[in-house]
Amino acid sequence: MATILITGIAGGLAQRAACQLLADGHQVIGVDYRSVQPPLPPGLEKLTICRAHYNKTIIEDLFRHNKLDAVFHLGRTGSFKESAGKRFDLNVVGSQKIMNLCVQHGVKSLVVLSTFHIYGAHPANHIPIAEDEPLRAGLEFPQIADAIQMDNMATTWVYRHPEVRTVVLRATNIVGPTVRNTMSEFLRRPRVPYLWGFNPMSQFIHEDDLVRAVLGCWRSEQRGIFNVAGPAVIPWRTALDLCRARTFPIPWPLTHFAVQLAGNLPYYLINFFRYPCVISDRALREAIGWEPQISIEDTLWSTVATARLG
Amino acid sequence: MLSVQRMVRPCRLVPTFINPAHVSARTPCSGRSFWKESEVSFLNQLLHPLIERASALVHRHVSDETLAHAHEIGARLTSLAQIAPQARSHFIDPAVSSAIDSLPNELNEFGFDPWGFSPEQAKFYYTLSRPVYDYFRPEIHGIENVPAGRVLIVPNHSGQFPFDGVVIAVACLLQAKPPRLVRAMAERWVSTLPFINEMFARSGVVLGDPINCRNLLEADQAILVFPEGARGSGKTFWDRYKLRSFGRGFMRLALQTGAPIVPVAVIGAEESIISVYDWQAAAKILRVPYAPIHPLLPILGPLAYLPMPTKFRIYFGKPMYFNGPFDDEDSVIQKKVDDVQNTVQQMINDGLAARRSVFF
Repeated sequence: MATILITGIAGGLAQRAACQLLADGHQVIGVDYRSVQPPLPPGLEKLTICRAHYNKTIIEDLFRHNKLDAVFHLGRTGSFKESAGKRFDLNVVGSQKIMNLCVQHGVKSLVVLSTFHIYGAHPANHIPIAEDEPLRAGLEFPQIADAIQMDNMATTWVYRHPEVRTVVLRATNIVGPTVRNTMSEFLRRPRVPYLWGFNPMSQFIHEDDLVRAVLGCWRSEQRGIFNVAGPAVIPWRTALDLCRARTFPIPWPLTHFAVQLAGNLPYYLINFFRYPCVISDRALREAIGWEPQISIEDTLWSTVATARLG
Repeated sequence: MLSVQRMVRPCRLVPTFINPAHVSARTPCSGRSFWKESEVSFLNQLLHPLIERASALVHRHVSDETLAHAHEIGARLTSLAQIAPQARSHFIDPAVSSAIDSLPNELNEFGFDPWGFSPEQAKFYYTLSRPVYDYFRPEIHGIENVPAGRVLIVPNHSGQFPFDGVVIAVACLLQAKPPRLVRAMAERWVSTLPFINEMFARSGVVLGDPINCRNLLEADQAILVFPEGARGSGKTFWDRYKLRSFGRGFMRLALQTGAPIVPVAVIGAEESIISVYDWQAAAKILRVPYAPIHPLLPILGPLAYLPMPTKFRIYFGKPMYFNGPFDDEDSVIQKKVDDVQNTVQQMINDGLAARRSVFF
């Protein structure tokens, strides 16, 4: 039985991971800077929840008082509801603190969830993108700096601190019935826009497949950086059809206006509706023998089913 | 764990006007609605009397018979829209269709490869490019020289617009046995063009990037690369059939992946659209690599850029095999590149010597 700390426990993904671990008989401590909404999904009765900012001292106590075997840092905030300063505090300074605490308290393994957004959707992207390729997102969209810096920090950590076995997972669009990130909320809209004349190849991964990858990395002896791509690469509008979404086109010159209308949609996401950013997860499949179990139809439809059917 | 209601093949729903039932029925977790509920009720309040008044007006002035007639026309239009996909399948050239069906490409269950190639849509676009092919009445020599498996097809580039690429691609699909899909390497700015980018990707064109190219060669695909690049196709009439110096990238890829190189000479494209001057200042403003000036531009205007029906003669040479490290010094690689360039130039000279007429 292991004791595992999971960040971002207010989110669906961390809760799914916790659920799996608790079912396997492990002890799980969940942390989040947000409050966890009361009716917890079944299976999480034994979960210890703590509300703490990743950059404050409460989190230190969690490391002091529990003999942690592993830390899953799944709580990167990509939400643009938070200001750039707060995102930097949480994602960069907070992650640094968590990683430092892992070294200080002899945590054996650390899994950090990064994002494929840092590769950036760019006309110069080749297909597919492997782990050691340049991160182009910052070229046009400096707002994503916090995600790039967090990823860089974690990847240098892999080699600077061999005593903590660190795995960095760069996941593609994470969707699923309990995930509430920008992409899944976007797909759940009653009317989903697309850019007129553009239909880039896109990937999606189901939360349960990602949880399986996280647990697989923890159980394996691997360290390093891995992309996590979904089951099939499909064009964006095929994905919208699979979501049974009503769509409407937006001409390219009006995109910035449309993004403002859409509220807290990050600007850097626009290019993902325009150019392909297809990643390859061959390294992960070979390293831990993982592969997605949920088909792309089920992945997308399970994300939007509740919203579509009422 | 995952309970998913299986569904019939989804189709794009016909957008209806704001449906309050739809909005109010959504669960709190369904995220932001495009319309806020207050906006919906406001719009409905605003529009409802208007719609009622309009329908009353229609009923007062238009007889029931006419209305029934209008309904019938509407129904016919709908049924026309429903048969549009079938009409599209009738439009597709059977030769193109059977050639594309015989391709060994690996596709996912939706019929796409990771680069966005889709056989079903490629059939449509290749059928569209078939008239271009027929217009130039190409004479294909030595297509049997294109070997099975990975290969780099290296032609000269000419003719201002990439009709030479279109003709080679259609020739490889329709004339080669077995049919080959060539993956043409496109300039970066192509992927920034709306509609064009999707059309190209679906018909198998990919971004001209070394890693893309390597990945495709490792998947045993045929790559069409113009090593002269835009400098080649933007040549003026005075420089026709004089090769611009080849880039070295294709040779490094051939060495790295062990792919043979098939040199190709295209005769006839140089004369289809004639450029007497490359106006660089205009090209910079238009953000294109070159701006050809046609001699008949003052008389014909933009019509001058319609290609003339010159006869294309395409010579596929014997495959060339190269050995050695791919990361060697430029001077070593350059010798091998020169070898290919001289072969292409020789094939062009031979082809020109054998040609009796530009148009026949």
